[in-house]
Amino acid sequence: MLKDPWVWAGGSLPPAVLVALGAIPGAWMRYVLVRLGSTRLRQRHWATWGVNMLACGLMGLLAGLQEHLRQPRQQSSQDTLELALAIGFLGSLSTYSSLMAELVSLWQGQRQGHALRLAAASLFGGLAACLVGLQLARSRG
Amino acid sequence: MKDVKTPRPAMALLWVALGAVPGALLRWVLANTLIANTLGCFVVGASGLLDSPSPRRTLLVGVGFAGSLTTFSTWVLQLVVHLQKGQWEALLSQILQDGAVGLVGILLGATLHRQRGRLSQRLLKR
Repeated sequence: MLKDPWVWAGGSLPPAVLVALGAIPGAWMRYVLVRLGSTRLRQRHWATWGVNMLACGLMGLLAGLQEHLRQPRQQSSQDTLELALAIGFLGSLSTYSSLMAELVSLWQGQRQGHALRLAAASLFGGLAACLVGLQLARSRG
Repeated sequence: MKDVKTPRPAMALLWVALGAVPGALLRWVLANTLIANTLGCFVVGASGLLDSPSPRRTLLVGVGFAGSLTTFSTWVLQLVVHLQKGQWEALLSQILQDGAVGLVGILLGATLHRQRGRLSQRLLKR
């Protein structure tokens, strides 16, 4: 299903602006954290992994929070959260392409064991972080 | 001409933002995580980011555009939904299918990029 970014269903700001306003700090935060993490860890892929885990945890938290907002009168605040935070900020904070690029680089650099560990840590770590976030939001609700 | 200098921090953030906005908007308009992620992987391969790209291209295309076009958090949230509903087949097929398609996308892009490089070298030699 395609969405029309210029149809404004009401709310505080046009949806495309909300997505963009979330995306910029999300991408900046990923860039800065990966840069800082790469120098500390000396391995860029674990820095990317950490940022993805953070985004998964926050995504679970947000999804749990949104379950409380599923009442009609709070529709617009739910949309704002979804557009600016889930799609814009967390969507841009996390990355799939860098993970894939790092897996390919490790594999081609004869570090297959490392690549498999990174893939498993991303998958299971991401699921665990998201579930923890979700449970945290539900237990507070 | 290839730009090999690392941009200053403020410029680096500008390049990242310039890539991130269209990347996130495209992901939202597509409204399909698999397509957005695969497309982002293809872009990374096809723009030569697996080889030795200029710092500016890495920031604009890799960190900004493809980084924001693709998403790991939404992808994992979809897995969690399958997990909580006990949809094991959907869960497993999403992991295997999306993982494989992403890898194919990035490798296909990289192959195209390298072939284009070879082709232009051959043309330059003539």
